[in-house]
Amino acid sequence: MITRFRLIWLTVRNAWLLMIMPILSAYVILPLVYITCFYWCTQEELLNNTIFTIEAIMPISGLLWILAYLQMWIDSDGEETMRACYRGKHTSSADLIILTIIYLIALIPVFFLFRVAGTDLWQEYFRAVVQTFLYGSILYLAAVGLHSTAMGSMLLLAYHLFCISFSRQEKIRAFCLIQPNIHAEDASLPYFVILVASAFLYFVGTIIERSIYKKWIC
Amino acid sequence: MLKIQDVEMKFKSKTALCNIDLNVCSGIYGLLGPNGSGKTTLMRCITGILKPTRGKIQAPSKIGYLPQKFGMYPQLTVYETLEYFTSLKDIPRKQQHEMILDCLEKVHLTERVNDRMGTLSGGMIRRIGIAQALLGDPELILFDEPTAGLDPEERLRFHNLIAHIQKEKCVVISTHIVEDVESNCNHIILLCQGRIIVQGTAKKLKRNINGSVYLVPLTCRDELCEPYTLLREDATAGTMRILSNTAQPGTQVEPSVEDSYISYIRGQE
Repeated sequence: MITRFRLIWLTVRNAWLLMIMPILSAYVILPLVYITCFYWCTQEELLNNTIFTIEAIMPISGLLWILAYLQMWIDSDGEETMRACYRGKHTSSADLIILTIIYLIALIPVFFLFRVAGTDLWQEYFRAVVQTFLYGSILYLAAVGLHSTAMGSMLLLAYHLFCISFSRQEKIRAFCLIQPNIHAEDASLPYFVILVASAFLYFVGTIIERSIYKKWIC
Repeated sequence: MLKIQDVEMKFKSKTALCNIDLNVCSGIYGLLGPNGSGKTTLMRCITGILKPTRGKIQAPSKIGYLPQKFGMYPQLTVYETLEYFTSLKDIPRKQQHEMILDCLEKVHLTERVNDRMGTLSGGMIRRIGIAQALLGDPELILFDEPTAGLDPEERLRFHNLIAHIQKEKCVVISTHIVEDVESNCNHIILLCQGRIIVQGTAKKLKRNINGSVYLVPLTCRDELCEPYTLLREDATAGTMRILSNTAQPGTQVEPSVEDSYISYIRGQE
């Protein structure tokens, strides 16, 4: 376990810029929006704007951590050497789940500060947790399936923008995982189903990485 | 140590490896062949990165591998990069430090231990690649084009290094540079179009074309009898080296491994 954490830490060290950006955006942008609205907006606007920012930033930012890890194992020139150490049997899913958990834990203090400031956003946090897990699993699956982190992340970014733009429309809302204009308590997202779906996608990704992936390397 | 039985590797309709049978014990083995002959695919099959379509590969559990492409982790220091590989290879933490310094000393990069990978030259990164392949005391070491990008002095050091480690280990070097193989390897495996066309010692390979290599003055070009194969033309010395089974003007010379290599490859074409 120590070795695993050491490996994750070295990955973080290598791609520190990708790792620091989501944390910076959570610790700078979210409080900034909150403080600005706190002084210049109504209570309802404060809530709406903060929720919109959380939805727009948190799940997609978490992908940068996953991207940093997958870049080493899929895109880098050292990929072959690393896979040879495991005799071609390496899978990234466990490390990615650990990374996602660390990222989500790192964001807890921000929500704690919101609570101290008088706004309870824990439901939004839990919604973002579920969304981050699903995004992570989709990116993993797309990256190992297409053998490219860039293509996987572009697909997700396009979907994210689609959600932000169209989630207001009732007919399309059902296809939108990200619903920035709706509060978590009003959202109709089946959290449990989404978590099971992300576990399933991680499982499929693992199978692809173990078997079909071997054909891509050439 | 390494046993390959009837291995075949297909990528869709293209056959990259066909009927490969190989027994490798301790010593240095040179995998020689033109571009696209299947050397890298064979290396990848041995490491387990690729699964052969058919056949069986029995390899030791500890393998060191340097692929053609090795450039990575620009933000990590040399030490951290090697530490990363010791962790990947599951080397106990207590042994890691000593092992890293030992491998760095072997590739003469001890003084760059705290430098970031991004600041190193291509040749130095290649040497780090060699060092990581040596980590964990592997029984079988696979080097894919190990001397590409190394300066002459480092190439010489590399040759000395593998000459030193070959006593107790098995080293397989894949290359298309004949000199690298001729000067180092006890055993040469010639691969062409995914098949092993010949294998044996350098002496054996040369023996097969003994008496067929001529050094002919360029002025005698018109006197050459067909058929012959031009091996090399040296404008400065005013000579040409040819391969022919019929008597030719000029002097008969001792064949080199390169002559033998060209003879076999041309024979396959």
